[in-house]
Amino acid sequence: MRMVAKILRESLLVLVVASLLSTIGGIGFEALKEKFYLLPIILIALPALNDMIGDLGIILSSKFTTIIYLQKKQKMQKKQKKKVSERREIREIIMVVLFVAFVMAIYLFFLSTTLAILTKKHVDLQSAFKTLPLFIVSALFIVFFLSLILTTLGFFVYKKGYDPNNILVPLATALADAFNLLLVCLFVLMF
Amino acid sequence: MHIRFFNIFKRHIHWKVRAHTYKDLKEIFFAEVISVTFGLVTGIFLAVFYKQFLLVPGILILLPGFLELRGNISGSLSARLGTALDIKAIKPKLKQKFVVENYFASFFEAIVISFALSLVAYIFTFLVFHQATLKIFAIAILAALLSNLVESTLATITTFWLYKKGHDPNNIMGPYVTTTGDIVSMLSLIVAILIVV
Repeated sequence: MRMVAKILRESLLVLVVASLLSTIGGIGFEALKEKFYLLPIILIALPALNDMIGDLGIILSSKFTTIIYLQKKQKMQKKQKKKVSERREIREIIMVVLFVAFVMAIYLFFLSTTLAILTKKHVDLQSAFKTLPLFIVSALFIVFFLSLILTTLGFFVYKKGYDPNNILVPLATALADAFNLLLVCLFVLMF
Repeated sequence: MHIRFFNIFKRHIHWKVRAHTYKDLKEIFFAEVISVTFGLVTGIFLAVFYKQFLLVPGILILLPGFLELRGNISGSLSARLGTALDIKAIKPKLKQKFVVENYFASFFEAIVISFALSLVAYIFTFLVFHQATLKIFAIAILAALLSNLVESTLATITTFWLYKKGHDPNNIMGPYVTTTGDIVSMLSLIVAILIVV
């Protein structure tokens, strides 16, 4: 039982905080539940969109952490080049992730529209295309916003002596859930 | 080995440098294609059973946290097992103390977090929408137990199977548990609603 207690002590607080952070978006979802019923494309795409942004947040977190640790290692050997290459590598991975987010948002839109047509008969193509900007804007905006938060926080957490992986990964998925649902709710309100 | 993203398409860049960024792009892209495609299965369940979700006030508040919970619990469970296998602390067998204790810890985590989520959902629907129901506690805990039973068992067996096959479970289990976790959680929530309501 000592192992069970240890696991609960170390993980429970982070898990509870991450889960509760996700409910922020859920509140908006609950408030607009009748409106969501009329938008089957968004309903079908919502879990996948949340997942995708969360996944990209995890990739950014783990890449940033690796860059920080690698730079620390390199810093001991070549001190001067540190700042330039660190910034360049971070910029590069953000660009890769933004590019994937853009392509995947379009892919998700077409796939969810097809599935909505197959599962629900009353899907109007003209109004379906009005939801395309939501997919692109939420994917690009949140991933960019996450990358800003995660880089800043990553360096801060690292300087405080913690492993950024342990804090950034649950935070990235929770923030992705919260921001994405809030943005989707805002869109549904305007639709 | 550094290069600006859009330069990977230019010819004068050395092939080794171009390959570095291209490798990242390719790996992330294909992992996302699989994750998003399977993620849509969860969305289809949500759209098809949406009327059942509307019957329980507050259920949509806990939904995002509930879906995330599965990936977090089973993800850390398989990470702990993967690390223990890598450092040879355990063998890939189900009946041993370390595995059993980790498995039961995941049940405790699922119960505590689903209770916390349903409490937030209950308080919020009570204060804001004035239509709260205590059934939300029963639904959340029942769904958490059901999904944990399926997903933690699946995560443990798959981790050992991958290790026996010579793969590193740490590279594969992350996207695997988040994708299967969403589907299992959504189905468990639907089953719990159908039983309780």
